[in-house]
Amino acid sequence: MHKLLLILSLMIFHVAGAQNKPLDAIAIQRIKQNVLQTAKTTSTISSDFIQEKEMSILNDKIITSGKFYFKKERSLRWEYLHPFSYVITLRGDLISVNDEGVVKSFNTQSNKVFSEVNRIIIGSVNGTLLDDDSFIALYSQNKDYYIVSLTPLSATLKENLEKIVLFFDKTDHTVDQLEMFESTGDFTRITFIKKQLNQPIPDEVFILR
Amino acid sequence: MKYLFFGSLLGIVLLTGCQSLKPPHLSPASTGISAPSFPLDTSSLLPSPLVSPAFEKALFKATMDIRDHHLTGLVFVKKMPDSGCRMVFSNEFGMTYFDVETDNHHFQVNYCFAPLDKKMLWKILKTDFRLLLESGEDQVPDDWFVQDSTNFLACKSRQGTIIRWNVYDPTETILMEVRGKSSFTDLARITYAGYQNGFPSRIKLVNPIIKLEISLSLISFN
Repeated sequence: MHKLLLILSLMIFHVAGAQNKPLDAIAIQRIKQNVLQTAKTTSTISSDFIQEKEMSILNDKIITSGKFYFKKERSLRWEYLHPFSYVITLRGDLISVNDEGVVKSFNTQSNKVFSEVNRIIIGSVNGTLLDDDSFIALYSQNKDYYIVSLTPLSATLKENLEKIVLFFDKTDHTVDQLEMFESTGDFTRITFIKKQLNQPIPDEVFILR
Repeated sequence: MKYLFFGSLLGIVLLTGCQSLKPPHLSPASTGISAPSFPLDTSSLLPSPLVSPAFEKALFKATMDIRDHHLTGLVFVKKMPDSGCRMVFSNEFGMTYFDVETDNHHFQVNYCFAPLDKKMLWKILKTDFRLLLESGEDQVPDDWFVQDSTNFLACKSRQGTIIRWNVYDPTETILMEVRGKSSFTDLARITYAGYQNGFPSRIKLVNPIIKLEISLSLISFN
C-alpha cells in the first residue's frame, strides 16, 4: 500500500514538474528583487480584469469582468461592468460601494475578511505579498510565468483560504493572473489584461459620491 | 446589578414581543370582503419563487447588514437534485462568506467564515433562510384572509416549528411577502418585488430583532 502511494506521489510530482519547474534559491532571490523593484517604481496600475469563480455546486463558472485601478499606497477601484454594474473602492480604511447609483461607505473594521482580501489583492498586484510574513511562498516557473504559491500561516485566514497562486509576467514582473483556492474547494481566477503602469489616475477615480 | 440585568432582559422580551408577525389589516376571506378573485385555486400559489418547479438556479448581487457589519458580494441559489436548495454567499473577489443547504426538512451550514460562525446567530438565521429557501411541502394553510388595503390574500401555516404567513397578489398569483418566526428572536420578513417572467428581481429579508437586512438583486436565473 505504501509502495503504491509512493509510486502515485512520484507520478503526480512528475506530471506537476512537467508543467511547473521549481526554482533554485538564487533564481527565487532574483525574482523577488525584480518584483519588489517593480512594485517600488510602480505608482499606478490600471487594467481590465476577468474573474472566474468555480463553485463545487456549479457545473459552469460564474464569469464577471470589469476595470481595475490601483494607486499607491492604498487606493483601489474594482469596477464590474459585466454581467452587472457595480463599483467598489478602497481608500485607506474606507470602503465605498456604488450599487446602481446608491453609494454606501463603511470602515474596513466592519468587514475584516474584506479588508484582508483587499490587502491580499493589493499585495498581489503590487507584488509586496512576496515579502509578507503571513504566507509561506513556493516558487516555480513555466514557459510564460514565474509562479508563486502562497499558503497562509494565520489560522483565521487558513479557515477561508487554502492558498493563493500568483502568475508574474517574465518580462515586466507584474501579476497577470491570481488564483485563490478556498478551503471549501471553490476556486477563483482573476486575469488582468491590457495592463498599464504609471499612467496618471486622478484621485477622484477612488472617490464615490 | 441583578435587577438591571433582568430589567434589560424583560425590556428586550417586551420590545420584541411587540414585533407583529401577522400582516396588518386582514379580514377573513370567508366573509368575502373585497376579495377580487376568491375562492382561488390556491394550489397554484407557491410559498417561495425559489422552489417553483421551473426554477433551477439564480445569481444575485447581494448586501448583508447585520448590526454594524456590512457584507457585499454575490449570492448563488441552486435547486438540488433532492428538490432541496443550496445558497452560497461570496464576496466580490470570490471568497465564500457562507454556504447553506436545505432539503425541506434539514437545514445545514456547509461552510461559514469565522467572524459569522456563531452558534446563536445561526439558530436565528436558520429560520430566516428556511423561510426563504424551503417549499414547506408539509404546510397546510389554516385560514385565508384578505388584506383590506391591497386586496392581497394572506394565509397562515406551520412549517415545522415555524409559524408562517404568506401574502399573495391573487391577480398575478405571485408571492409578495413572507413573515415567519419560531421564537421571539428569529422573526423575519421577506419581500419579493419587481417580478419579471414570474421571478422577482428584488428580494429583501429583514430580521428587526438582530438588525439583519439581506438585499438580493437578480442578475440572472433559469
